[in-house]
Amino acid sequence: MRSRSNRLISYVTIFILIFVILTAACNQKEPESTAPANEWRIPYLIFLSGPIAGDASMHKWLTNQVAAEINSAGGIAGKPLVIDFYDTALDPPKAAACMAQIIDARALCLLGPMNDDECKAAMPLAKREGIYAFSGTATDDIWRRFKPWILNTSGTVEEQKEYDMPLWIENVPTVKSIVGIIEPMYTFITTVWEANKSKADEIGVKTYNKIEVPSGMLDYSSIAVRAINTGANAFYVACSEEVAAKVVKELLDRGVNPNHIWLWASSMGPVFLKQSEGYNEGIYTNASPTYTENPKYNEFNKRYMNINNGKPLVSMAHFNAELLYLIKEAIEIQGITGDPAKLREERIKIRDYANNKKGFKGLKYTYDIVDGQAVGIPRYLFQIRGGKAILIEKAKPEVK
Amino acid sequence: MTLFQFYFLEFSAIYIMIGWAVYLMFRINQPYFGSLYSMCIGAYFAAYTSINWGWPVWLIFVGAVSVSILFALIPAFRLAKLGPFPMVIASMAILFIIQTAVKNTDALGARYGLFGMPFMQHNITLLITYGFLLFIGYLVFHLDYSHIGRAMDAIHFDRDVATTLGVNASRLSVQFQVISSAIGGVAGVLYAFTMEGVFPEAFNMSFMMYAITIVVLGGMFTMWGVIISAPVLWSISQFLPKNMTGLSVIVYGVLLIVMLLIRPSGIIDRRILKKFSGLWYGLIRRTRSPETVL
Repeated sequence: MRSRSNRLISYVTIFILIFVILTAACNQKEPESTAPANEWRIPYLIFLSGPIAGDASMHKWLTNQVAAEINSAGGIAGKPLVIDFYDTALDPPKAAACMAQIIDARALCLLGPMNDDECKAAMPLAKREGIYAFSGTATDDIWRRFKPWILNTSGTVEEQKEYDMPLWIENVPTVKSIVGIIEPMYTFITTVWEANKSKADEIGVKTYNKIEVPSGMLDYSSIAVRAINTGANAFYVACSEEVAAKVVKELLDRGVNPNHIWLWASSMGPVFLKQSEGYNEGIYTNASPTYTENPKYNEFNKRYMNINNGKPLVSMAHFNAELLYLIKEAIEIQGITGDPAKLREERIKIRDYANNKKGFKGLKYTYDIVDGQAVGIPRYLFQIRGGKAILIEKAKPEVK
Repeated sequence: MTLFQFYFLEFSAIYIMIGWAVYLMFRINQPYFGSLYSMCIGAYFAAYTSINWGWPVWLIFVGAVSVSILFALIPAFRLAKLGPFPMVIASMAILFIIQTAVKNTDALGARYGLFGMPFMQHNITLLITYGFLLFIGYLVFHLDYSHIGRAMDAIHFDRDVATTLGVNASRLSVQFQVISSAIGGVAGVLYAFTMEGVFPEAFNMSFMMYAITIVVLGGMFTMWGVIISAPVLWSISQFLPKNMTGLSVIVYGVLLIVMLLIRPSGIIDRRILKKFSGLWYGLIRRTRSPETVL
């Protein structure tokens, strides 16, 4: 009896001790609300570690370049811009905790979150606390759930659907039936495939149910065989670059016409071009790591290639970095002071400015933002020739 | 309390619970991850019933635990007879099946998940969470230091010998699967309320690896290690200097390797516990009977 009560006392005491230690461990001082700071600190919620951190490092590099450019031109409203990176490691609870840190730090707005899962984890908190997320890579699905507190500049599903498949099918009339080979790295990949599938059906091209590709397989021949066995004569590939290179090789080894393969943006980039060297001639895609309508992006890309053995930035690297220009505009035009006493009101001003902006000059092209969604983003059809993505056709969606 | 403090305390507690749920099954040498899919079930149950039916929190806990136990019981009797390796494969497969089923069920938000759960005040959430943690911890503590704990040890080291000694290993396994899943169900509800929503990718294979790491690093033979490893592992990236955050996975890996090389039994093993409890009980005895000190 004595021993049992000793144990109970021990357990409860240790438990209380643990709680006290845990509380002390995370005991950060609450930032004090005083005068406006003499610099603009913009937090960036991004996965700098974890399974696909390589892609994020390019976003980080380009963001730092744009920030340096802004600072060399006098900063924002005369004050320097500083980017604080918050690593989510692609872990949902960590993403939520990073958002909590950002809110605790009383940030005006933030860049990111980058990935669908990060958005799902962090945005409920951001929406409730009223902080605007400049997330170039947020998708249509995410935007619908968290508007008006998130920006989506990666393009609407509607615009992608109207142009991507039709451009390919018009240029390659021998495409009669399509099957999707999808690696569901994030939700949006499947959403876009479904939209494109319905458009293909609409214009009279038969489609088959998607074939899901697991990540990290050693051999992708079974995927190619399954895709060919559906009876489709054309293949829509939306995977990571490494997986796409392997899948494409298996398809071509089995006699598939390269013109009948179309790669979605996630599959097309420097890694794909390198790993599929020698067998990517003639493949179509909607993205190019090097093509841009803005010479400024070429300069950044060249700089990156010089320090990375000729490897260009991934085709989506510009999405978040270019939003620093929009933040600068919002702060300067709206007369944001950064005064902690006006935080709530200034956050709303930034949100309202960013959600409706005509003719925003991004790093690669110019587009409009309507209700927090980028519209009128040019849609492209490229073909790989001599190891490079060559522009075949461009369409500019009409802004309604 | 800052928002970050809330998330730190909340997730530390949730991961400790999950660590204990996994630990219980490790003790009988059956690495079973039913607690993880129960967590997924609990989280979805909480999200669905609170969003669509407006259930009160207490009813959600009761429902989530019941459903988790029910799901655990379906394969429990067959799983109880399995060795460690088939058990890992089987429970991984079930986790994968449940995740795929959730992803393809429109009523559960399919791939996008369920959002818009009612907001629960942070201090209330913490109170409920730490109340459960105290209770679950005491349950595990009680099991550890009873005749069941000795039976667990016997099964861990040799299941056949334990059976000949009269320990019903299969029955104990079923009981532990149920307890483990119930803990998972509770952790799932707390997770959903903390995140204000739930989505299928939150319960993937890396989550399972994370749970294993918590137990392996903390120590597989005592319940106390989990209390250190869960918050430490979870918060490494949060406490690293800003310019080093990208290295968190490396720090994490190095920590794991160093631990496995120098302390394969985990941060807190029984030797440490014995030393510590010797000091501890000595202190209690001295406090209770001052004459012995004199």
